Amino acid sequence: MWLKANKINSLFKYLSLFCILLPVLTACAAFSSKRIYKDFVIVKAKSEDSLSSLAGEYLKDMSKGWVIAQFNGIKNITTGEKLIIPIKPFDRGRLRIYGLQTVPILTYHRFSRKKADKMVVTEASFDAQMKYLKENGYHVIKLDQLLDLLNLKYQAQKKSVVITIDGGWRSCHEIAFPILKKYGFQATLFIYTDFIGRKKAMSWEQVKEMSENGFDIQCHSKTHRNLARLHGDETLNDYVKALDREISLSTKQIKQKLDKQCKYFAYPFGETNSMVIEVLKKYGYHAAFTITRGSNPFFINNFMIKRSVIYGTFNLREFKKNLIVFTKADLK
Amino acid sequence: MKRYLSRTFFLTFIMVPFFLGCADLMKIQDRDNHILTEKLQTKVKEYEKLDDLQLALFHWQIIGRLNPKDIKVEKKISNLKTKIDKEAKRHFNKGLVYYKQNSLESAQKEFLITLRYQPDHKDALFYLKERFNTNNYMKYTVKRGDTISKIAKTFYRNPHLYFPIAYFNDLNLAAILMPGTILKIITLEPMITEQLIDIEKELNVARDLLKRKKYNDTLPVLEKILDYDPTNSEAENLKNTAYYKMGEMLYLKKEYRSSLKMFKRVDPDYKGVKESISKVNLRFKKQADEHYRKGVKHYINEELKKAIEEWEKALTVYPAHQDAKKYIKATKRLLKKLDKIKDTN
Repeated sequence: MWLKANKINSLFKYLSLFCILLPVLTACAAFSSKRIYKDFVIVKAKSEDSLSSLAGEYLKDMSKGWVIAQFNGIKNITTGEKLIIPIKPFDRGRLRIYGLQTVPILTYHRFSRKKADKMVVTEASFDAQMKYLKENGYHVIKLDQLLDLLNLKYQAQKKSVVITIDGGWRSCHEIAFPILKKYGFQATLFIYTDFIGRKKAMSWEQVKEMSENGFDIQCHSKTHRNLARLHGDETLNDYVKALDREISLSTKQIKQKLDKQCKYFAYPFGETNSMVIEVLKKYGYHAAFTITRGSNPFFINNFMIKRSVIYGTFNLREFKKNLIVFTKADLK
Repeated sequence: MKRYLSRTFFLTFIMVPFFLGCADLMKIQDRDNHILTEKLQTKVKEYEKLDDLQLALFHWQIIGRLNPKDIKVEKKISNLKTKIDKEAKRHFNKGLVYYKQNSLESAQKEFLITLRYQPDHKDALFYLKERFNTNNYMKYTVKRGDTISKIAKTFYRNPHLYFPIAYFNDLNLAAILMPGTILKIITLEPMITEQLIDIEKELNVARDLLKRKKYNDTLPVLEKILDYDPTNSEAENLKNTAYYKMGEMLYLKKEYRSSLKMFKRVDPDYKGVKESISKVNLRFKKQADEHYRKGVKHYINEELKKAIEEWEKALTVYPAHQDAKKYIKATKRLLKKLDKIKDTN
């Protein structure tokens, strides 16, 4: 009886020792596969890891797999490889002795199945342009990311580009939306609220559908009047009141319909002046967009951001000219 | 004895492999650190060569973490930080001098170099983002006795332009201004800008031309507006009206084909256009029926080739004429048969 109790006692002892050692050994194994520091993490890639899964785990953003790829000079993950994942942005603005990063913003208006026009891009052309972006490693970023980049808070991929579509034309939903989805791109729609629901425009349901699919819906005024100029016999006092209406009512309607606060504004006809900018600031806008052709360095005025209108008459070569992602400058 | 044996067993078979395992893991880690350090050092050399000191510093910091006992690395990091600080300071001060001298291009370059060395340099970023962008307003400190109208008169030379001052400063028009309050006086830009195209004026021109039935002259005016503002619904509507009216005019002149072309250029939802297209089509149908009847007459008189010619004319006028299509086919078949009979005879 005594002997039996003693056996049970020693068995219990070994079991408890095992229970203590097991976590210690596991911790040792984990220590060798992952080390976390303040600014970076070192991980040993497992077979189930991918660039996006690691980015999701350590950078809290699955779309940032390129950060890991770029820092480690790799395209894909090899199992067992030790990778360094930088947690903080390490190359903001991409300032070099020979130049700096610039971000092109492409602007579209209308689309058609076959007939091209200056402001109307055909389905085939748009598809070819998006295909070109996809196959050549361009990364479509959102306006929030662009603004962080312009304020030197965010590090964007080398070939970053923004896609915007102005107006709210029905063809944007019918033609552009499926093509953008096909290539996994999300665009920003600048809508003018009086147009939505009209014959050639999208309905609010269609705008909502695009918004729910990750498209950014932002403001393009209420009636699409030229905000930079006085109309007819308009007095200056009436002009200021009109500016307030154009900006406040459209912002309010988008908020009501989509429950989203607008932060970005596209000037109708791309024109602006100091009064328009001040009204936008009064309503809490963070940035506004012109249609001045060109790419944007980080130090661009946030209320004068350039965009390049892609005409329906452009061929692929002309389209490519608008994709300037680095501008030479002597910064020695 | 048994107790002693069990302890020995425990030490030999569990604790020793455990410590050996841990030692192995440390060795593996040391080997990994060494490989990573070598990789990072290769990159660092490139960055230092290109004067990308921020990137170089970040890589050195990682090397430092991997080799915490390496004093050389520690010293390298410290030297690099000092160099970055020194260079950033030097270029920022140069930028300030250029800025004060109004050499904005040179100042911009120096501030950019500052940020190349130190992306967190708030002052350099402030100069580039804020100081280089023209201010939209002036600041004015209210003095005793000031009213909004008085300030409007001073800055805008017009006491009636009080509203912009009140609006941009969230002031009640009847508010009494407190001395010392700082007001934003916005630049009144629309007064000095000229519109590239005055849409309202152009629309009036188009309306006037339409009234005077000068449809051909109206269209270029409307195209000009739509080129500038493709969403202008009034211009779109007037364009539809112009094409519709041209269609009607040509219809009255019995130029049905040209009339149809004009109607087809009108938006299909435009009031009356569907009826007008049907009206022209009916005309074509009537013309086609006449040719069809002539064809039937030729057919009865056994003039089969002439009959086919007439029915083809009917189809040219009205391609949807089903009877003409049917009889052409049948008569062509009949002609073939007759030709065969002739050949056999």
